[in-house]
Amino acid sequence: MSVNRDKLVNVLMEMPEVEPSRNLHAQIIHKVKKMDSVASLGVTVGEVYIQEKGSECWEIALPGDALFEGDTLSTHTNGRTCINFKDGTQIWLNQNTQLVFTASTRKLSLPQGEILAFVQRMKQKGNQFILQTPVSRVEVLGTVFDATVLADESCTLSVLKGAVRFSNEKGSVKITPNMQSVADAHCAPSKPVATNLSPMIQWTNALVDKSEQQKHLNPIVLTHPRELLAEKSLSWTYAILTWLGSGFLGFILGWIIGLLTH
Amino acid sequence: MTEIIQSDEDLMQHYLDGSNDAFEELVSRYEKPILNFAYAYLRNSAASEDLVQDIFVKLVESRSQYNPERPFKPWIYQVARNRIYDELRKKKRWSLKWFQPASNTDLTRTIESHPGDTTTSRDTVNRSEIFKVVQEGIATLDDRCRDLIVLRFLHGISTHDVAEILHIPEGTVHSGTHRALANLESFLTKRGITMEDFA
Repeated sequence: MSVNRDKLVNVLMEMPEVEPSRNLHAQIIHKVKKMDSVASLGVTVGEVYIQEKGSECWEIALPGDALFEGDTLSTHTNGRTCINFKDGTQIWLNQNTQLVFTASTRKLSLPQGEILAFVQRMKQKGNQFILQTPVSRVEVLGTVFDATVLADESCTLSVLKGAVRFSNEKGSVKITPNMQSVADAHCAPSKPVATNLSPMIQWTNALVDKSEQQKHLNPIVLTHPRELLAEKSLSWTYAILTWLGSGFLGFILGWIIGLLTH
Repeated sequence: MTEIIQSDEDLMQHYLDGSNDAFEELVSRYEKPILNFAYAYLRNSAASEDLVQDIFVKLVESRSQYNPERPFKPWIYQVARNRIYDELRKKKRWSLKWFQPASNTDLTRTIESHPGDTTTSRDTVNRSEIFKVVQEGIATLDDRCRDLIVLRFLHGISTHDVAEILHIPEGTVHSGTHRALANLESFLTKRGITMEDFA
């Protein structure tokens, strides 16, 4: 005896449904929101807050939070954090810092505080990283630099790697590794001077330590920026040794050739 | 005060204009239907939930292709179906042959050779067992028949919208649905399910 067609249709229409798990909705929203984010929050130490675009209130920021165009990130006293951009650029924020994601992934504003930026070089031309401070502008293509904006709105810029164009309405300077310049509202950025950057980046220790502790949770483990300085001095040492070595080899070769020709 | 219920199309338009709330409302409306749509093919809750997340991500990725003049429902089902079939292809490529669901012939052979072993004998069959066997039957149908059964009857989608989702004429939906029901009916009959069991 065959199954009655209408009854079969009724059974099909009454088939039990699967209920979504309680957090499916939140998971979908989170995943979709992340797609439009410009960056996400990495390791965090102390109090860090986020103010969403158009919102008046500050919310506690947690590792993994997505950051969007127009958001403002703020660290309180003893608060430090690291932001990971999709292109690999990393920005570390020192305490008492505010950073605004103004226009796009590579245009930021630093109204106050200190950041250390590891800017990834982009292949496309005209896609430079721009940091706007109250009285100056920092343009880079791929570099590591530290920018500090003080209460008087002056900005101190130090470069660890690569080169940076530092400018304001009064003028512009190019800053190379281990050099530092200061700009304020009244005069052009100062002539870059050599500086010891190691003491300046001591504040990053807290973030690196926390990153080490949480490496089982966060796949991006922070490398201490002092390694860049070590790399720099190491590369100089290597260059000098190579130069001396090649000179010595040249001397030996010249002596042998001299012996053979006489 | 009565709350004005916005259409899916209006919500999608608001989302395209930048309203995240509109998108959240669309997720609320469709997470369960799309989850059940995925489940009809994958028959695994956890895998279906993961896929639903991917389907909504895909929907957002392809939002520029959405035509506001066209109805939203067929579009989301179209996106979901494509993603589900991608997943099924991936599974088929990677899984070992003996983990594949048994084909129609394989199941029939099993029933014929061990009629006493089946739990679907007339005396013992109950409603949940019928649903289970119907689900098995749907899984053994060919892709087109399965699509038609799932969309038309499990999701109550109109013939017109099913035609749009599957890119086929409405006449083909009608004839295909009859064929799909006949195939399912034949499967159930072979499994010993009769009309008395559906009372």
